[in-house]
Parts: sequence; C-alpha cells; structure tokens
Amino acid sequence: KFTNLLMIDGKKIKASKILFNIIKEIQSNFTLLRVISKALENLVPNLEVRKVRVAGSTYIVPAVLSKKKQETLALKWIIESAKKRQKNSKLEFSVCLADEMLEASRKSGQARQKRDELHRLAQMNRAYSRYRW
Amino acid sequence: MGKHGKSGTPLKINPRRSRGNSECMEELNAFFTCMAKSIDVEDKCVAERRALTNCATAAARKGKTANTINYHLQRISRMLRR
Repeated sequence: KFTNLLMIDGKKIKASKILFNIIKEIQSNFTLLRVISKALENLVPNLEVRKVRVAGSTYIVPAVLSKKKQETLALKWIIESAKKRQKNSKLEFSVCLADEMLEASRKSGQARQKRDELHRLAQMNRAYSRYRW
Repeated sequence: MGKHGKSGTPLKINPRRSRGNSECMEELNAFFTCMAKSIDVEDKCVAERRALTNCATAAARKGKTANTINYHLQRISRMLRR
C-alpha cells in the first residue's frame, strides 16, 4: 500500500527503491516492525470531518473511519510531511520519510500534529454528528 | 416530482436522499467522552478506539441498501397496463 501511495506516474520500481532505502535507514538503528507499527498506531485518525450543507448552512460534521481509510490517511500524512521536510533540507526523500516515521513512533512530528488537529476539530463539532450523511 | 407514465413511458421517481446513518453513534459518543477526559488517546482510550474502528469497518462491509421504489413502480405500471 505504501509503495502504491509513493508511486507517481506509474513508476512503481522507483517507489519500491525508495521504500527499500527507508527500510535500510530504519533497520540500521532500530527494529523495523516496531517502528512502523508504533508510527501507524500513533498516526491513525479514528474520525474525519466533512462539510455537509443542511438548510442553507454548511456544518462541519465528524464521522467514523474504517480501518482501511485510517491507514491510508496516516500513510498519506507521512508522505506529505516528508515532502515538506525535503523542501527545507537537502536530504534524500527516503531519509526524510524514515525520519518522519521515527518521529511518528515517538508521538511527535508534523503528521502527528495533523492528526491531533483533526481530532480536535471533530471534538469541537461533536454536536453536529447527527447530521451524518 | 415524478414522471407520470404515458403509454410506454415507465413510472419513475427520484428517490429521497437518505439523511445519514446513525450507526456507531454510541461508540462515537463514548470515544468523544474519553477524548475530552484525556488528550493521550493511544494509552487511555484503547478500548473505545478499537470498538469505534470495528463498528466502522463492519458498517463499511455491510454497505448501503439500494432503494427499490423504482422497481416496484415499474412493476405496478406493467400490471396496470395489463
């Protein structure tokens, strides 16, 4: 799944190479499965928010996510945060991705902030959950 | 609202859009309550998270039931023509 999300313009081999580099980077100092499982556990959002138009007004409505969507969102956030990190530094993309994963496993980083922001927004708008589509 | 059938034109209406599904509301409220008590949801709200995820996954697997009103309208119009 992660390879497919990394893939751009159908270049799966390039995406696979990036993934292998990430694995090498993480495995050099840490236990790979532990880091990835911790990172995903700390990043998966349980809720999402959507705009629903009811009687002329637009409400932000929280709703639950299935497991598949949760994982997809978490992985997308890791990739987005790594891209932002790469813009500011001269590191390789795979190194940025590995750093993001390590930070996520420690409950820090931009991806984690996104998740907290989403949960906070859902919490603030919990009164509108009856407008679910 | 609906098209009244002339000879040969079947009866058909645009079905009403269903106003949301109320599945998993209990689990959702339990999760919100837990989230309000503590910021760290990974450690403190494990059971609520798991229940919510399981409920959402089961609901997604079940899928939406299709509205069969147009099927019945066409069936009735065929009966009327006979």
